[in-house]
Amino acid sequence: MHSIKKNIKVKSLTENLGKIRTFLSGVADEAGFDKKKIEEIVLAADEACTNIIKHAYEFDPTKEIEISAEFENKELTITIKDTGKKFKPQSLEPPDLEAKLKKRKSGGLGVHLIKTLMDKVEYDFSNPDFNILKLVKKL
Amino acid sequence: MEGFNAKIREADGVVILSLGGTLDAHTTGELEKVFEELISQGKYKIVVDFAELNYISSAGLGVFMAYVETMRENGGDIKFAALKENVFNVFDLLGFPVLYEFFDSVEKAADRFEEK
Repeated sequence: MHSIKKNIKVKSLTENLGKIRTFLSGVADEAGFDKKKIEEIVLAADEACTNIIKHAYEFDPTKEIEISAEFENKELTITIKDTGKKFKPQSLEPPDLEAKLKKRKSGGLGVHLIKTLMDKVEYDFSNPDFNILKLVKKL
Repeated sequence: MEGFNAKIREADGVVILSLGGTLDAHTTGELEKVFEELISQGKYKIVVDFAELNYISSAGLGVFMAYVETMRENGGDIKFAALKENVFNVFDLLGFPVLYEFFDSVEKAADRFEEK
């Protein structure tokens, strides 16, 4: 049974989303996930980091996002840490697409995707200095 | 494959907008510009050709949500064609097929405009 532990730190810029996706795709591949699950992991993490860039850091490019990926006991745990505003995700309910469409608003879609794509999603806002989001995917 | 590109051609009053590469929060601005330009030219019948698009996140979906009502209010629509499975899955997970029309080819999507 092999275990993997890797991490990266990037500036809060949308141009770094590609770097984050490549990093996680590599870890998930090494862990033995199939193509579909790798895509799900990568998309969930992209959505989470996009929310941090937009809402927690409000596009401040000097801020940093720290991502660690740990594979153990057939589970990949992605831990995403930021020091931005505490951005509480909206309800767990699927978004009312028709209402959003009328308002031309798409907020909340990312959170819904994250919850749909991952096996476990945990937000931890208990520390005043940073926020932690844990995303878990089973092999 | 991290770049993004958008190409436009017109056939019988329908705009075929071909997307390629990656559509995420970093590249959505480019697509928004294209839609703004189309609207300023009074072009509302749009078929989006996804054949060369490899990746999309909800930020990308948000662009279509932002413009589809404008197209519909002006007698047009945005129709979705030739999506790769992984790209279609994202639309599907968010319930888009209920409110938008998806086609397996650009031709079928464009024909749908002519039927009306």
